[in-house]
Amino acid sequence: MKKKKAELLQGTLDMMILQVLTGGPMHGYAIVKRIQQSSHDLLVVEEGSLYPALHRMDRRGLIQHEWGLSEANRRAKYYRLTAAGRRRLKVESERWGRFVDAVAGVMGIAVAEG
Amino acid sequence: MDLLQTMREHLPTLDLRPLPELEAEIHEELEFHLEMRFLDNMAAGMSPDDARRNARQRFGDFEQNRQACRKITLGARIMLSRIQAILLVVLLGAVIHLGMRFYQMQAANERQLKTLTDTIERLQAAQIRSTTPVATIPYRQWDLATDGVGTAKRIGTQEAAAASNVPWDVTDYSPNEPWSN
Repeated sequence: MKKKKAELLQGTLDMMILQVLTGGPMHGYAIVKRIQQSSHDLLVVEEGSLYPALHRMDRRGLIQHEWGLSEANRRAKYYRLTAAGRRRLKVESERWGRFVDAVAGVMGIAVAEG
Repeated sequence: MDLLQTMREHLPTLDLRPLPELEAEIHEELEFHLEMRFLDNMAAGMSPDDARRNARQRFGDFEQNRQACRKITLGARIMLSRIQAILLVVLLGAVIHLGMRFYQMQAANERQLKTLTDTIERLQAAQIRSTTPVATIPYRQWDLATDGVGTAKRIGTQEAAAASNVPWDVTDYSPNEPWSN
């Protein structure tokens, strides 16, 4: 059965990047791969769009970067979560949880009424 | 969110390295991604052409993303550079304006000084001409303070007479005569 790809909701990319980085420092390509693997390739991320998000969060102090050597022995830019990023992730996760519960509640009512 | 965090998000620290170096880093980061996807595609059995095409397709518009990163990372620096350039132009304008004003004021002062000097010289010349004796003019020097009874007190008659080269006319003086009627 062919999987249908899901579009990302506005603002969820930042939250997912923060979540992925809780596993340790990663470069952009590894972050994209991790998001796709974790969503079983359901989430569509235009790979290039990850970088403006990374740079924006870096600028806001939610993540920090440093250059290092990749597994392919190439110079790569690694990002890691900051304390501010962890706090933001907590807030966003709670907000996301409430959003999902709310939508699920509405859909449950709709199903029950249907 | 505390105030410090809010300020940090809106007033981020500036990376003060040269702009070309920062731009090269952005390019290098995006190129690294394309290269890694290309290698993964090759490892998955794609031909080099397909691997490269697929990598570009999945990445999206390279230039658009590069510009977006550039704007986010260097936006504050570019704005700061523009503000510096504008301030420099304003400062230069102010210096030139003040210099011109100073030059104009100095020229005006010189003109006024010259006029004043000419006037003084004319006055001095006129004074020299006026002090040359051309006729015997009676000269009196009076101390206008009175002696308390309404009569004038004469002083320095000898000196005044000597200065004017005119002998003091004693017949014109009455010591006990009231100064005015």
